[in-house]
This record gives sequence, C-alpha cells and structure tokens, in this order.
Amino acid sequence: MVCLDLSPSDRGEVVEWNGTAFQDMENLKILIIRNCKFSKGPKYLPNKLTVLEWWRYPSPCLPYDFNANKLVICELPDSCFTSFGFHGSSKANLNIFS
Amino acid sequence: MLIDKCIQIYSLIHISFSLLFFLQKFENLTVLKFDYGKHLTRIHDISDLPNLEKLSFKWCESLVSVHNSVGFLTKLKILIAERCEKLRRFPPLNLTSLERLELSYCSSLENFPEILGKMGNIRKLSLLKLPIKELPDSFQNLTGLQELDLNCDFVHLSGNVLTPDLTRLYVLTCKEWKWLKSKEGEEDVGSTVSSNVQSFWGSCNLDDEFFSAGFTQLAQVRQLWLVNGNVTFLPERMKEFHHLNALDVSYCENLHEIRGLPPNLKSFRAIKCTSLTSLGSSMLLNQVLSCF
Repeated sequence: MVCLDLSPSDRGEVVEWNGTAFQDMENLKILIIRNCKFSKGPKYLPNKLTVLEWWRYPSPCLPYDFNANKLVICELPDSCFTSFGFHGSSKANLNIFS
Repeated sequence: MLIDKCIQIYSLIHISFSLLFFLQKFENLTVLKFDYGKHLTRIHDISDLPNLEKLSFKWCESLVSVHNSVGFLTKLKILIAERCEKLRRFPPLNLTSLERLELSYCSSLENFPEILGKMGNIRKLSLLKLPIKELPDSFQNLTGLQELDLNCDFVHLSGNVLTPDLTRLYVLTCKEWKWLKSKEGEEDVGSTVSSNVQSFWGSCNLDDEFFSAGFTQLAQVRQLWLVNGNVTFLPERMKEFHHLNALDVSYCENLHEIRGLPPNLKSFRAIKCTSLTSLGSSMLLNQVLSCF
C-alpha cells in the first residue's frame, strides 16, 4: 500500500488500536488521517513516508525510531503537544516535547 | 540507582542526537503545519529545515514563544501565524523568498516584526486586529508591497513605510489613526515624502489633520474614500489633487464646508452628511458646476 486516507465522515468515532498497525505497511508513502480520533499514538511509522497529515495526532511524540528523512509534508493540526523543534537527526526526527 | 540509570540513558540519547545533528538535515521537508495546536506553547529551533517553503501554526492559542530561526528560513514562501492570541513577540524576519505573511488577530502582538533585509516578494499584506501602534522603519524593506490593509485600533503611520510600489492603502475602523510626525518633530513626514498611493480607503475617525499632515502622501491618489470620518471641511487644497477622480465622504456627519474640489473629479458621494447645510451644498454645486 502506498497511500492510506482515513477520513471517515463520523467525527465522534474513537478508533481503538494498539498502535502497531503500520508495521505491516513498510511501503506506505502517504498517510492522511482526518475526522477521527485514535485511542493512542502509533508505535511505528514507515520510514518511506513522504506525506504525513494527521489531525488530532493522539500522542505527544512521534515513534522514537521513525526516520523522517524522506518526509516532505508534515501536517499535525489540532494535536496535543506543547512544543516542537528539530534537533538535526532524522532519528531524532520531529522532536516533539510533551 | 534507578535515577542514575535514567540520567545515563538520557545522556546517551542526547549525545547520539547531538552527533547526528551534524550529519543529517531534513533536506526534503517543505511543508510543516501545526495549526489549531491548543497546547502548543513554544516553537524551538527549526534551522535544520533548509528547504521549508510553508510554515503554519495558526490558531495556537497558548503559543508564547517563536524561535528566532523562523526568521531565517531562506526558502520560506508562506508563513501563517494568525490568531496566536498570547504571542507578544515575533522574531525579526529576513525571509528573502517570502510571498505571504499572516499575522492578523494575534491580539497580544504589540510590535510588527523587524524586517532585517530586503523582502521584495510580498505583494499584499493585511494586518487585522493587532494592537500595534506603528510600523517600524524597517517595514520599508517590504519593497514589493502593493496593497496594505490595516484594521487596528490605534495606528500612526509615517510616510517612510509607504514604499514606492504601494498603490492601495486601506485603513478600516481604526479608533485613532493619523500620519505620524517625523522624529525631529519639526515637520510632517508627509510633507517631504511623496508616495504612489492611488487608492486610499479610510473608514475611521479621520479628522481635518488627515489632509494637513498627509497631503503629499496622497498626491497621486485617484480614489479617495473617507467614509464615516470626522472631517469638518474639505480644504481648498483639494483642487491640487489632479489625479483624483472618485471621492466619497459619506457618513461624515461633521462635514459642513467644501472649500475645494479636485479638477478632474468624475464621481462624488456624500450620503448622510447631515451637517452639510444648504449653504455648503450650494458651494458644492458651484464647485461641481465649475468642474464640469
């Protein structure tokens, strides 16, 4: 799978998951999530992601081993973190401080 | 012991991050958006995003600090920071590629950011509901600015911010707005600096000083709207507005005398000018008849 667009029309729905669903999507390049709330943040994000758009991203940090080197577009509106900064390394990636 | 371990682990992570800091950059990231981040309070150093073209963090109602590195992203074309209501300071800007800047509704931002170098790609700028009182001298580094909309409660504008390309100036619903005197206090800036403003819309408490202080700034004006102002008379010098073809003084309820009208006027509106007496009106008619 290259592109996953999760934009259900029902806003109130909370998606219960264990955060590992993207482990089997190594080739995922575009991930768009709007209009739904996840119960917890992802434990894994594919390193080939070029577009990450996740409204109401449910965690104060990105997965620690996410390599954001290929990321071109990063949109995390309406999220819960309190600050952000980039500390240089793609391993450190989006260093979102809670 | 556990705390020591934690500190050790943290130190290792920190060191590894620091090493990688010099090895890699986020070369590919061009768009970064953190809009509507209700809890976002700080934007740290983002100087490692050399190719960033769009940065947006609008409606971040808790944001209090933006790192200076935001002002030095050389490829940034769009910067959107509107409605960050707790933001009191915006870093100086030296964004040579910037085409769009949005700062409106930052209701605690008392100073427009300093513009450190020439930024000639912004054509239009709207500054709405900001508590700024005046624009800095460095504003003239926005050399490509053609349209400026101001809707702030108290704005004093000096002639040196009227850059050569600025042709449209709208000043809306300002409680107190006036041309700023020069720093020496000897002379109005407006009497020494000529602007190319062709279209001026002033819907606020403009009074008679508007003409005396800003005459030169409006020398090229073609359309002049002074709706809902406090002017009491149109001065004789109005005859010197050779380019003016449309004049609207509607709802200027204190206007009672018209001493002069521009020679090339094609459209004149004075709706609900309740102080304009029959004498004033006849003066107007005489002026109009002499014009045509």
